Amino acid sequence: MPFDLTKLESDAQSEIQEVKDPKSLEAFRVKYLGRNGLLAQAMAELPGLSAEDRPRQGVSLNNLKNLLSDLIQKKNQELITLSSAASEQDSFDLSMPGIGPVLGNKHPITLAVEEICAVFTKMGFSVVEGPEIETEFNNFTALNIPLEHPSRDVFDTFYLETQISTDISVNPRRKKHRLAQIASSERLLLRSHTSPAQIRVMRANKPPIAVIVPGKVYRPDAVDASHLFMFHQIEGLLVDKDIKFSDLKGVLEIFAKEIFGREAKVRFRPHFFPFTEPSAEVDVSCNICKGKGCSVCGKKGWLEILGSGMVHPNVFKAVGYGTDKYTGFAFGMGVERIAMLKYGIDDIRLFFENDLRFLKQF
Amino acid sequence: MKVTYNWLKDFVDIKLEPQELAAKLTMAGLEVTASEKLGSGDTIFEIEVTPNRADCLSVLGIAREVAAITNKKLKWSPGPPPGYARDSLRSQVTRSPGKKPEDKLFSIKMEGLKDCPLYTGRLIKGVLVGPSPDWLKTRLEAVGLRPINNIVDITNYCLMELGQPMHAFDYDKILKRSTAEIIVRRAGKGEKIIAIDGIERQLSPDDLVIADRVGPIALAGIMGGLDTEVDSATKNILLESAYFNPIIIRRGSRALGLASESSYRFERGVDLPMVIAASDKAVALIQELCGGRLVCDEAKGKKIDKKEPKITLGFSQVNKILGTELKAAQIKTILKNLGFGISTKTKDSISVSTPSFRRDVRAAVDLVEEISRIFGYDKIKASLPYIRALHILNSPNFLRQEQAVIRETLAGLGLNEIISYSLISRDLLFKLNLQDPDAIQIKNPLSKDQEVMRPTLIAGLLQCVARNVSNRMDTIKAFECGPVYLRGTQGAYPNEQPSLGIVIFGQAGDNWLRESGELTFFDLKGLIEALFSRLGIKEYSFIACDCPYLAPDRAAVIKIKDKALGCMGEVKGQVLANYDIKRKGVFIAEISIEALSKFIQPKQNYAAYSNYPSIKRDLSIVAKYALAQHEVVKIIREEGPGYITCVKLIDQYIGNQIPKGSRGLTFQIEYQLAARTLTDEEVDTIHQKIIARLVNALGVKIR
Repeated sequence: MPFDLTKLESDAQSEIQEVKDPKSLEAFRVKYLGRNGLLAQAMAELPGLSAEDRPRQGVSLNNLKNLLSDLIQKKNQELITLSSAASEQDSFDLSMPGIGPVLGNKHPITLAVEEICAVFTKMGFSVVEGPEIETEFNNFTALNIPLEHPSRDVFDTFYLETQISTDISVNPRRKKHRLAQIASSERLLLRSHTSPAQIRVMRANKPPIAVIVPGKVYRPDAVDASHLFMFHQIEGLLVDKDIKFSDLKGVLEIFAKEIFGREAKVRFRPHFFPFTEPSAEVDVSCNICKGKGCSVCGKKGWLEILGSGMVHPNVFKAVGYGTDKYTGFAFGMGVERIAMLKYGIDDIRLFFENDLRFLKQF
Repeated sequence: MKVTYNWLKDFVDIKLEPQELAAKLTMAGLEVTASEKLGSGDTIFEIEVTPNRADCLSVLGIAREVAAITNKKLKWSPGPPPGYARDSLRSQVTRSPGKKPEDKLFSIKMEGLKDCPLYTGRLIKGVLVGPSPDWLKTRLEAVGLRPINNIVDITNYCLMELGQPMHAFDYDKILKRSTAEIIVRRAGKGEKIIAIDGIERQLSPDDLVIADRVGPIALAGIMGGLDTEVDSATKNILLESAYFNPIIIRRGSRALGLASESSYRFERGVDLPMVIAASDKAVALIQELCGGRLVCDEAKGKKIDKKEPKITLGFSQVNKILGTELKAAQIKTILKNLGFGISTKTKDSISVSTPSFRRDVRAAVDLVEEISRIFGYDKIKASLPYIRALHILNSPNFLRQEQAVIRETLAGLGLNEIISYSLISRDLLFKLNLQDPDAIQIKNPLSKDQEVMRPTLIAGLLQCVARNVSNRMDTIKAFECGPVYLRGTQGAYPNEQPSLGIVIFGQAGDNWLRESGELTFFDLKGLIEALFSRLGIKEYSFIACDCPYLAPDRAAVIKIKDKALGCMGEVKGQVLANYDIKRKGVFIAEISIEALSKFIQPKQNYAAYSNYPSIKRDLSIVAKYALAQHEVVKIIREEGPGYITCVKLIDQYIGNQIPKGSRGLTFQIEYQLAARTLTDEEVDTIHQKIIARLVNALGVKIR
């Protein structure tokens, strides 16, 4: 007597309704489709059946096997959907923090240098650099800053114990220079401004010149909230035929608006720098008090951001340019000062203390 | 420099309100940094005078600017004291000795006209020393000077008003010392003087002094001597007015660490004709306010050259430099109001003579500046230059581009960029166990913290760690990208080499879902490898080394081919203690960007990849600790050239199932061919070959 496959099927159909979890589904699978399951038992009986029953029973068995497999698979899907729905209800909290890598950052001074340089490179300036260790000639003499003159007072300078020998001196022209007798170029120092890079660029190139020079500078200043012995400057130099003071105004107005916003007002105030004539200090309207006067701008309504002017003919002479042929302008700014104004930082020492609570904010 | 509104009005008619005047002065280059309205109705201006404008260190000088800005006439005419002939003193200026000293009440002897081109003295007898009248005291106090007595106050008043420092000696005190012979000379070695501040100072031949036959009685141009000071008992005074060499005064003032209102003006250069004009004014005031009578005077020095230097100025030159369209008349008016002499040269140019008080103006561009600042920078219309496209290449030594990529990559990998000082203390290097560090020394540091230029970034990184650990920061991943400074060979230019430093410690990134544990040596190595991969550097190696500040067995030198780029590893506990870092497990690396840059491959060529399936096989071995992982990888790769695309270590096991001193390593090997599908049989053959070779060559066991 062959297995009653019809009963087997209806039993299975009703039993699977009762399956509610993966464990009973597995039990169901073992009972019917397992190695010693009911279908396997039915299969084992096949050889004993009559020749005429055997094929029919075989086909039916095969159909039933497929049917049960489908049922199990469907049920399994159902259970997975159910269980994930259940777990969603239990513990899934979509407000849990996302998991991912933590982003690092660049130093605020790096960011400020990049931003400032970008403004000028867009206008056609190239970024070049110069060494921090400089000669007295490049740092002072060639820039029309005589020795033992009060104009040097603002340029207190670190000197190195190291000296360089004359034959490898970097300024072959210095013997020709009229101020050279008192300047000893062998003395090395830490540049007190980025302006010596102007001298290097002009000695190595003929006009037109349009460069911007970022870098570290050093002055032996006692450290306080607005002074450090190391800081960063960015120097600009444009030399060609027919460069005018009005061009200096135009270029620096664009710079100020790019950095401090379209509403920023800019003013040019006469000043004195030994290496420029005429010279101008550039102020932007204080964006904290909107020009009314506050503690940041010292009640002036204006913030001084850079020094500038038309390149002094003596500087052109020092680098061997014809003073009738070319004119140019130069400017220099303190990067820390601009970063402080931009980010609202009130103590310059924060920049190099490397406190992560400060640095991580940028 | 302080002046008051009313004092300025003595010299020029001012119609502007004080605040308007302050704004105009600022925009003409005399920045009014502060102003204060007084109860009396007067206003004090604090003015920043740039070092080129010695002429503005007086009320008169600033009044001259006000006159030029407001297009008014200056009210000032020098003249001799009442009762004296004009030029009585000036006519005496001569190099040749006058009468014999004994015939005169005093005499002047000069040692060098270079140090002191003009020295004048005037003897005033019968003065009554006492307090100054209130108007005088008020003005002095307003500009920040303390009233002392009428004589001293008058010299100070003239100093502030006219810019000429003067000094009054007590004539009788000089006579008491020796004869009244005034000698202007350099100090002798070992000479001393007690100045009126009561401090005794040791002098050197760099210092210029006023002396009598006994010794110095004043520090020329800086401060008078206590011994001949005017006091309430003084009856007769000797009034000095002179021109001292700016450089000598500057050197002396710096060497002695003594600066005064007087030295401040002399080192910037006083106005030569004012030497006598100011003395005239002082004598007039003394006779008026203190009684007394000028009885004799004497002057020594060079003849005052009245010829004024001339500068040719073309009108088109002015407009070409400024980008303006100024008319000849405008230009002439501005220069005239500033005190310049104008004579017409041609239709298009003028010849400008510079007055004695404006010796800072030497060339045509200086005149252009004068014109532009009085005309007003704000009135010059901005323009934009035609910037000719010419690319000036940065010197490749600075590796700017490379540093930018490194910064960007490391910031992207979660590191914070730091910048530390390039000047450090030598002690920080000793704390790294660097013996006799070859650092460049600073000659004039302000403190020990700035005595050398850093030859390494490690010191700054560890200082950063120390600071943040003491702030209870539990994890740091930071880097610095900047130069280190190396002394070249003797006499050579020092080296500034860009370098990269990385430091990490703390949590690897634990979160609520997974635990990752502490950062390790291999996290640092992984960061370096990620950076190298970004830079296109493929063939590098980490080789065990000795490094003074790294723990033994936890230190590696990073090499590309045979070139060492730097070191990485775990910082020695003793070094951490030296830096006051109260924790363990700090990993640090320093890599020379200069050395690295030679191997950077910015351009990556595309290589076709295989579209045929790959087969992955795991291989587990048991190996002695002494066998380095990369030796195994090397052999695996050697055995399957062309077949193996990737060998990856996926597990390390150390435990009971493996004999002591050995570890289990599991590699995943990926086999793939470019041109066709691999069969299992082919892979099996190679895999078995690898196993055989590993067993034979390295003595490992297969798990």
